[in-house]
Amino acid sequence: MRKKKLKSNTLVIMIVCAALVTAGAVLLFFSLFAVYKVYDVKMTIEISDRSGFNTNTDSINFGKAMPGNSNTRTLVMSHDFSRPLLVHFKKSGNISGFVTIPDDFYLEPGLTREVPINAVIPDDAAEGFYDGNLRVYFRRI
Amino acid sequence: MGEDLSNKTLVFIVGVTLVVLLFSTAVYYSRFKGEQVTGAALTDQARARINITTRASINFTVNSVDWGSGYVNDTALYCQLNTEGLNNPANCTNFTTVYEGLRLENDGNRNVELNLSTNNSAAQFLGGTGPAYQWKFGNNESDSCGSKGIGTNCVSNSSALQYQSYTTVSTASGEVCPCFRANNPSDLLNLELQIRVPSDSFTGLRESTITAIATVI
Repeated sequence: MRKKKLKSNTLVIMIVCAALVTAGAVLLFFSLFAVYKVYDVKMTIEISDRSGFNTNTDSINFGKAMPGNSNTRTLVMSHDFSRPLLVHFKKSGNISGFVTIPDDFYLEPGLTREVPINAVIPDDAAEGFYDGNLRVYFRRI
Repeated sequence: MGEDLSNKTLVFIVGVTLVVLLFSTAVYYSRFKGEQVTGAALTDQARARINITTRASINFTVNSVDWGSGYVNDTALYCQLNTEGLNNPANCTNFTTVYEGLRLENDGNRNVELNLSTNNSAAQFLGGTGPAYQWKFGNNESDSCGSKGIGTNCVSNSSALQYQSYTTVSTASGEVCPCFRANNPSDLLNLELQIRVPSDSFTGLRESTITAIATVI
């Protein structure tokens, strides 16, 4: 009876281990071979009773915006990997409801592409300071 | 003996699993912690690059300067409204009187050149006979707009700011301020708007978009 129970436990442990090793291998493959480079870009905006520019280049600072406005900053992207890369965007934070990100696109090596990032403020947006993050993946294809 | 071997094998398998998981997690976090984009990082040797340009733009919809809905009186040829309180009841009915235009601030720490345009003309925006769509700029905080000086500096010049009286808007992007200061308390401009709505103008919700583009000098 004890031996039978042990075999059953062994089977469960083996299955769990196999699943975890598979997950680890997928993670490793994704990390080493699927993605070429990742950038995190901080995004901020203040919804206010006035509009304002912020042209600083250390983050995507949309400055100030009134409800109903849209503010735009532009990213310039390039790479010199030997083959085209797929550029993918992901947003996070309480600013993400306002920010529209571009669809994925392929970027050829040596070429430069300007990518506008828009913050569109709805008419009923509450005044305040909003921030978040734009994660940019350069993926191998 | 058989059970003993089975346990050793099991411990080995669990150990290998943990090593694989720890290693792959460490690689994942080292690869995906995400390199921060900073102003200085723009010239690094990374083989994939992101650069944030020194240009910013803002779109205003003119219905955000909300005169509401109304109509031109039967006896009038047009109704003229602006953001400085003009709303003559002899010509205009039901429109909201607006006492404040748009305020535009240089919120960063670099002086910029300011260009503005609209997406439609008076005829496209309002239609009818003899429509007008005009803008006027002013320094909300004194000396916010100056002339370009040496390097990136601004030089005080009260006439540097364009369109200081009501002027027909432009659908082509044109320079409004050659050097819009970034330093508080001289970094705020006013934009006033004026429209003349003819009695035979378009009806329904009318919208115009004003685009302001700031470029670091």
